[in-house]
Amino acid sequence: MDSVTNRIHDFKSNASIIVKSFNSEYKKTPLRIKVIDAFIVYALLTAAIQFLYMLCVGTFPFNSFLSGFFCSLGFFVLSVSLRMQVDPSSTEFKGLLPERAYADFVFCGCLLFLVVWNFMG
Amino acid sequence: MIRWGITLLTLSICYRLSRTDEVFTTEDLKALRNVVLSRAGSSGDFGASAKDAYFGSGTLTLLGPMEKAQKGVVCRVASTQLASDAVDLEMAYYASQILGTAGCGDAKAEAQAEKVAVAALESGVNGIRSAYYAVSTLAALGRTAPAKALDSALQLLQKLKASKGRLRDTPKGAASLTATAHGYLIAAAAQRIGTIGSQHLPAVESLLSGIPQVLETAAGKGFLSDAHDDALEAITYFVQGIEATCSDECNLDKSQLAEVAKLLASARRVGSVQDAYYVLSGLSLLTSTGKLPKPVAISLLSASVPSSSPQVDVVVQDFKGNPVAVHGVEGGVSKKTKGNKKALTFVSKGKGSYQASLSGLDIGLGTFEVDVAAIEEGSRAKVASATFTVALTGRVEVPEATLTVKRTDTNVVQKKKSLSHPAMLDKAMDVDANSQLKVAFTVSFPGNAQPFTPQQVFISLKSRVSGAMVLVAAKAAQSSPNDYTATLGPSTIAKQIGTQGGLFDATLSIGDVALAEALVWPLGAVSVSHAPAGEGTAAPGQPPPTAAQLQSAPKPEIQHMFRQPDKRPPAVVSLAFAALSATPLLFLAIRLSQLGVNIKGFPSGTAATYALAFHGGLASILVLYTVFWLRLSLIDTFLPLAGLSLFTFWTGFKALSHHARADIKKE
Repeated sequence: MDSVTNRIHDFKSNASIIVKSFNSEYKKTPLRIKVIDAFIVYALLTAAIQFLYMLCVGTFPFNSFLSGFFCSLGFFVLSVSLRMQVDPSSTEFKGLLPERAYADFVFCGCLLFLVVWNFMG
Repeated sequence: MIRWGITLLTLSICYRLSRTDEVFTTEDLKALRNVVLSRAGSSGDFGASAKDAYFGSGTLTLLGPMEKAQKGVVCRVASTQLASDAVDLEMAYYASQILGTAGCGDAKAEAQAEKVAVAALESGVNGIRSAYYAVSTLAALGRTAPAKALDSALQLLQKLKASKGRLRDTPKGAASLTATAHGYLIAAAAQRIGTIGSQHLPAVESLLSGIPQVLETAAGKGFLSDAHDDALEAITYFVQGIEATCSDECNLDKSQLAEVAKLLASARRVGSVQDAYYVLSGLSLLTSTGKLPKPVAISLLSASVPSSSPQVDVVVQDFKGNPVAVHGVEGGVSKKTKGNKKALTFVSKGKGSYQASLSGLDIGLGTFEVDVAAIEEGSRAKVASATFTVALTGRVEVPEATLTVKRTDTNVVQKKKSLSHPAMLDKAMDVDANSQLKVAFTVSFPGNAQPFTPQQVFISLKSRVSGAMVLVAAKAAQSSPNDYTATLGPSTIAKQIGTQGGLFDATLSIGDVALAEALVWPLGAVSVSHAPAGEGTAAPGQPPPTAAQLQSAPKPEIQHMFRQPDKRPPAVVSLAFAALSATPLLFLAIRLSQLGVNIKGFPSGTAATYALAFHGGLASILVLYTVFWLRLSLIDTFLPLAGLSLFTFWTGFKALSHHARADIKKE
């Protein structure tokens, strides 16, 4: 019994350390990235609520459900791509201007929305 | 009324008895001339094609000599075609045939046709048809060809030599026969325009010696039929080929040749000038020239033979309808359903006409099959045969009929009346619900000693009020087959037309294909009364609907099966989730305000204009998407979208460039 209590205590202290260190590190993140993160969470939450609707109620109308769900996921993917490209700590896209990444994001977003609105019915 | 009409029709119209329809008549020739003239008009203008002009002029020549104006038209077509730059071998062939047969006298055109044909032979023809075109072109123009040039055409005969009666040259029967016939025509034309080299002689001899076998295959085994599209062309070329090559009648079997002629004659109702040419050309060669044995056909003069003068008349004719004298005609007659053939003796009644008597054969009334064969003079071989269906017809008589009304429960006779043909009842006979009318009569067939049962013997009752008709078949007695009885009463009427009462006209009718005339005897009026509809009895039934009523009656309603609608949640649930899906937007707004997002960094000056235009462009695109969703089609959306995209691209490029430069400067 004691060992279980100890383990729970350890888990709580470890989790607390992880969260604190994440928060302290995340504070150093540039504002631009934080804004993109807000959009990423927004997209994920919208997708999750639609998924919940599908589980609780059903998929009718199916094409509208699919277009809404995949629009959220698509927007999430595009936002993550944008975040990777404009992150100053990322070495992979060094030399790529954030404006260029943003232009790509806008272009892909327009394309995604056209497809989604066409499919939505 | 409809039933009565149908009954009368079957009584009055005898079966269509088969007569031979093999011989070409003057009406057929007129019909063919009309087909040709409907295409060309009297001027003979068959169009600009040499092929059409060839078939048209050929048909007109076969129907009678062509007029000068018509010759002028086809000659012009041939000359024009040969003067064109793109003269091919086929065109040269057809044009040269016109030049040769119409006597156009256009030396320049003839030289051009010759040039094309010689060039084709010298370069080596690759098919039997091409070889035929080339060789026939030279033959039609009366030109000669060097032996070397002829070699390529004659070498093709080696292939045909192998087929010898089996017609294997091409997979299709008719095309195979055409190829073989072209072989004969090449051999014949080659002799006229040059010399057949000794190396080719065995192939030519072998090919020509196989003609009887080819004829047997083509005619005897149903090798050709109307179903083949090219059958007419094949038969005609074959007849032309054997006519061009045979000597001493080729030892051909006349009856087999008659099969070929029958095929041609059976196709005489043609729809095109080309087919008209084939039919006329083939039949002319089979009937006019002395080189081929003339096939004959047997025609029946009348398919209906009265028993008072039971004679079958046939005519032996060639395929243009001219009577042909033969050694004799023999035949036999048998009942259509049973065998047991009895021989017929035909006696000559003038040139080509023969008559056989059926009297003494003891065959009685009815339809019979008559087999006839024509025997040739000299060889005594059967040169034509045919089978006809002949009806031996007689008269029917009913001297007397007895009408009796009896009670159905006690069988007591209430009224009886005897009538002699053609007398009628002077007063209507009453038939009520408890009685029946019985009509008894005896039929006789004068001059017929054999038992005979007519196909239709019945009594009809026609209502004077509604015109509705009741039919009752009369039954023959087993012991005496000529004694008939028909019994009818209100119940019979109710079954057929419902409980219609009142006055009916009774008629006795007898009909058969072997009766020269149907017997229809109006017997007089019958007054019918049904059981009254009292308590406990059913109401009078409606007469059954007629065919016309059934046709115009309303049809059963068609229940359409629609797709079942999907199950939908209550509106409140959907609305709750709609509100829930908007909550992330709230989260976003709160989060952005937490982060302190503002528009202080919005560029100024020229860059601001570009930035505003860029964002305006994006907003316009989203508005366009909304309009597209609401009313526009995808195609209609693309044009404004392209414009907006270009605008947004340019302004975005400018705004972002300014922004990037500012960032770099700052760094």
